[in-house]
Amino acid sequence: MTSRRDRPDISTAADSSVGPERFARYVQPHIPLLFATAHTLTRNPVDAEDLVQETLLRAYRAIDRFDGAYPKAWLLTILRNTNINRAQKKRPYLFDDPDDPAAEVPDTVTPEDLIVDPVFDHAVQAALDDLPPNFRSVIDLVDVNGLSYAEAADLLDIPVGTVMSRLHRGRRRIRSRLSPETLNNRPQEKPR
Amino acid sequence: MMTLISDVMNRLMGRLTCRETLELLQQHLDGELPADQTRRVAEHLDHCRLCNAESDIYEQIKQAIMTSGVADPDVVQRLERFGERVGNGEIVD
Repeated sequence: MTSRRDRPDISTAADSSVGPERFARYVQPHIPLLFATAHTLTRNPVDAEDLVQETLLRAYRAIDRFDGAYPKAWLLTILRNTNINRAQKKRPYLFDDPDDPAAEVPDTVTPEDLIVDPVFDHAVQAALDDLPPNFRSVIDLVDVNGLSYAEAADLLDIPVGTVMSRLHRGRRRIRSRLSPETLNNRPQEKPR
Repeated sequence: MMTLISDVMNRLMGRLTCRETLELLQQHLDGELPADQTRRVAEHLDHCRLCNAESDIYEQIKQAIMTSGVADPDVVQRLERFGERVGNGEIVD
């Protein structure tokens, strides 16, 4: 799970630091990202906090075996595996199929679906909140948490093409739900 | 008709068509395209008012989503303190 945003730390080639130093160097800077990602996966702040705590403990136990390359990807893998284990313990016989067509909404939008909130950011948020969870998760991981397509795909255990498809359809759905009035009232200055 | 003419013009100029550009637009905004395709999409956007407007809308949607996801700073601080204690070996399980 690597990307252009997570280049290996070349200076670690001969890293002989001890556990606490390595933990402070490779793990602690990524705690905000781990929480944001855990929140996306669990949709619950309490579960997300528990998940990050367990992830940190597992990372600490494994830190001496970590080679120092791609720490973000390494941590996200631990987070993903921890989340899978927790989910299996919680509901061992239940699973849902995120690609079940019944779980998705059609891309066609009726006039009643249009969000007329003149404040652009509010309208986008309302449209985002109405997305099916499988679309919402991908958008959160890429747009909010800043993960690459490959990282989001690994975390959700789906192909990169599915990430792209859900991302594009989700954003198109959001865009199509904004009323002309909302679009006319969007910020004039291009965000850079 | 306008789109057709525009597509022919773009083809003649060696540029991407509007349809090709819009297909690549999301990857372009996410920084997921290779450099040569990034350049070609940017070139089309520089010359096409409609695609440029569409790109602006999606860029602003992306920006609105980004700013919506600010994590609770108290929880993050609590986790950072927890992380320090784990790193210091104060919590092992």
